[in-house]
Amino acid sequence: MSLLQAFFQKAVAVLPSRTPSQAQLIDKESHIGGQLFGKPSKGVSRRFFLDDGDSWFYSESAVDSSGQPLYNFTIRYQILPQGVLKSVDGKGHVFIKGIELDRLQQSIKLYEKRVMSELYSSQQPTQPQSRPAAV
Amino acid sequence: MPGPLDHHPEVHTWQYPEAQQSEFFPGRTIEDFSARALSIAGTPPVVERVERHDSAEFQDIYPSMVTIKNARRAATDGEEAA
Repeated sequence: MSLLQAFFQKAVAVLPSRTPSQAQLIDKESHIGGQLFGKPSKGVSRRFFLDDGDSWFYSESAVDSSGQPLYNFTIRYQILPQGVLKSVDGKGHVFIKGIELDRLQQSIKLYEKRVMSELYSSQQPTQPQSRPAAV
Repeated sequence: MPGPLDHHPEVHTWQYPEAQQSEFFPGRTIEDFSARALSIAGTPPVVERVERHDSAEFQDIYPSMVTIKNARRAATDGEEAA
């Protein structure tokens, strides 16, 4: 079980309620986000999501045919006023640019479109008025 | 306000196994792989060095984030709104 899976299972189990918790919504979003990059190879699972702050996470894990873990990594894209700061498993912080930045933006646009239609379809589209307060 | 993953610091400190990196992504840096991973389905998975510096457009990301957070807030009846 990946760290993200363990986290989401704990988060979902803590506070059952009639309305979904933010952790539950993010969990659902992360599954939708993981579908944005095409069908993964057998044994590979992906998650992509916006946390409750200003960071996007891409996580990928793989197991072999016997279920043994092969690899697992998480990329964090922190949206800052001066740029998008990337780190891989908490290391190697660097501001991204060019193709990677373009594709991240494409991914975020697709993510917004997918979660708004598949998860929040009962809501009226919201028109953003400002940047997130935490930024 | 802490993010959900902040409760799990191991996510941020997990060490990427270099042996596996070379095994599964031979000859590629993690930056190369990240660019490949972020390629959209239907888009050729171009892996190349990035030389552009005109990254001011990243500000376009903010409206999407606001939209998503507003939707979450509405779906949780504002109970967990920041």
